[in-house]
Amino acid sequence: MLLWRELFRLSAPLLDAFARLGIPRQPWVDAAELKEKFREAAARLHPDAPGGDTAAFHDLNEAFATLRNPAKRLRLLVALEFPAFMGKATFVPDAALFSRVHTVLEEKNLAGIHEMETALTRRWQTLEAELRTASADPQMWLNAAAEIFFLQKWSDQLREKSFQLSNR
Amino acid sequence: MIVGIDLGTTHSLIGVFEAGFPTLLADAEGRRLVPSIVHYPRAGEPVAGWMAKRMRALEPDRTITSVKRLMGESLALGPAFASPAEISAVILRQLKSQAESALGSPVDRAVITVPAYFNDAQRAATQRAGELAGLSVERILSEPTAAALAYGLDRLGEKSKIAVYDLGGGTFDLSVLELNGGVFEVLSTNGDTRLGGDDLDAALFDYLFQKLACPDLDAPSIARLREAAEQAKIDLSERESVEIHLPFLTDGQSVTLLLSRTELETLCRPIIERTKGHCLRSLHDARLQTDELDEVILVGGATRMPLVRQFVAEVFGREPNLTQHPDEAVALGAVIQAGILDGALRHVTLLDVTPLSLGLETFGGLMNVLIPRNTTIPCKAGEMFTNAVANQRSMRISVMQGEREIARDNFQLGEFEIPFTAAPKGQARVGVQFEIDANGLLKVLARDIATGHDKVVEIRSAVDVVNAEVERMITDSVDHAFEDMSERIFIETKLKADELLAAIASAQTQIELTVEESTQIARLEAEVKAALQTRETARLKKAVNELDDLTEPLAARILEKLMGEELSPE
Repeated sequence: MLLWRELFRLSAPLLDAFARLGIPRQPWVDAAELKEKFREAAARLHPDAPGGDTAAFHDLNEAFATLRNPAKRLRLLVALEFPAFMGKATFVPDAALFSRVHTVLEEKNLAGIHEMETALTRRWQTLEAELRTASADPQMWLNAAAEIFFLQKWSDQLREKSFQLSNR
Repeated sequence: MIVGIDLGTTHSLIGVFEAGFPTLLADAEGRRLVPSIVHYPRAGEPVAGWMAKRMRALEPDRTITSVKRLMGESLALGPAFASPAEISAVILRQLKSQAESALGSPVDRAVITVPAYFNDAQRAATQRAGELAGLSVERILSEPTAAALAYGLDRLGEKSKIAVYDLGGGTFDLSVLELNGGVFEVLSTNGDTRLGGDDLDAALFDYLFQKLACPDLDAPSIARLREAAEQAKIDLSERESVEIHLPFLTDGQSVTLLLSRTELETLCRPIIERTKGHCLRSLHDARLQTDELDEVILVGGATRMPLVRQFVAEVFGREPNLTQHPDEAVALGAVIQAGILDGALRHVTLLDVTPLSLGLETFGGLMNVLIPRNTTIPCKAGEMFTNAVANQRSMRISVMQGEREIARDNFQLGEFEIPFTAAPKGQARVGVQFEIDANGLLKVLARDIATGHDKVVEIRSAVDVVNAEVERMITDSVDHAFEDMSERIFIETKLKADELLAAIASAQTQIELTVEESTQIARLEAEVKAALQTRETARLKKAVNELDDLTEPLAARILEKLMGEELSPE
């Protein structure tokens, strides 16, 4: 029994999450502002509210999830700003870093995990700073999205492992 | 008018939103709490509430308590062989008639609370119970969320982060919420639907039973001891020690037992400690530290125990907030939600979450999460299914809820079949949409890509499907199968083998295998087929397990690849 995942798009038009939440179309986002906009819109669109609507709330939920996730946000930005761009991400995760993360996870050593988390955060901050100063470039955005995807995944794994180790 | 109901493990309450305030309704004797106890008399209709509680002492075997702990299970209980939903409906009917007497008008719409950590099946069973009692269930509401509404109703202008620690009669939940401008946003929730005051009572009962050293008590005496234990636990919240008098308990002998709070706490501590992991997990999921919380609110009858309060203070590093009525806060919250739904209460919005991750069983038996836990509801997620081989006519999809990586370790909600039109490999496509509504209930829609038509998919209970399948195969293949356990095991293993072989066949079209992997798979496949031929159960089992183990990394690789593919622009 095999199923494999594709981007599922029942509703053909691309959801412009930026417009839906009234957030400027740019690679970075002010987390507090995003949260605030979501809260305002959610209170209006929740099916329990007068004039609320389930389908609109689904879209809002999806838009919020997209913008909150930097990798998804960048990919959406490329699709919206450069609809004709056909390139693909060429980023390949650094094999040495990859194996270091996995070693740290295996070692179950809290100090090592925290050190690695800090290193990943620093890399993410550098990347974000680059995105803020660089001009709009779909290829760069896609590569950043790919790298962030791995940074995020590893950070989550490290965070989970550190939780498990400190609460045994 | 919509009523709000707290359908509790040990007690239930009902109320309405009136003149801008939530109000709980009492019976003719002025009692708001209704015992969640159902008695089936030898003749006549079942009764619930105080009357049933009186009957428990006389006819314990015809009386059902704590049925909420069995919600969602397919069981036939008590003298009437009733399902947990049917038994709960008796309690709900009692509440309904109590409300109708108090209001002087009929009641037919309700908000009913459930533990936040209730899964889809448990929520659906609660909804069914409401319907059986003649109520249209407008909302299934999580208990700690309801308590947060009760806490926050007169603090709508404030902004704060709170945790609700809800230790009820049978269930435990810890929810973290953010309150801001009338929006109650649940950030995370965690809990145990089989952990509560009942467990404390049971531990104390066992202890007293041992102390009594009188193993052959009759059923009514056991029921009396049980009640005395419960009362002693309650009294020890106020006092340091109690004397338990049981007049004429055994052979006309009266018994007096002494119990101190320290003894009780020694018994209860290990049970209370089980809540700690859920508290930490919920905070972790909300990405908050304990010092970022403004309040930790206690609700649920068991939080009256000094030990629980002390324990919460230890875990959260602060004194808990005791402003909410332990028994009534959840019911008041249900009433507030009823007020929101019928428009009596404006500018209050509840954003709740789904407590458990929803996923599908994927190749290698791994859980493929579609909607992660703590996603705001209502929400949806889609998945496209494609035929893996030419002219495949259908595919069976198994839907799970839970947090374990191995799909079968999670709770299986059920299975459904996706039909394909005959087409070359990869050409037939069906989109399936999974929606979790504001009740936390799952709905599955299948969309035919060609016509664009949606169809609600019926999910069959997994247990029934598998059993039916096994039964059918047994009848098909051999005559005396029912006595033959080894035959049954063989057939179950064969089913697993068939599934695995099919999965591997389609996996081979998905990812590149090394020569070594292909060789090993081919060898084990041959072994499985040979064992199927010779009908050797042990050999088949061994080969299937080895093949399963061998192909597990493949499943992981496919998942990795799929995650990578998600990144590339479509």
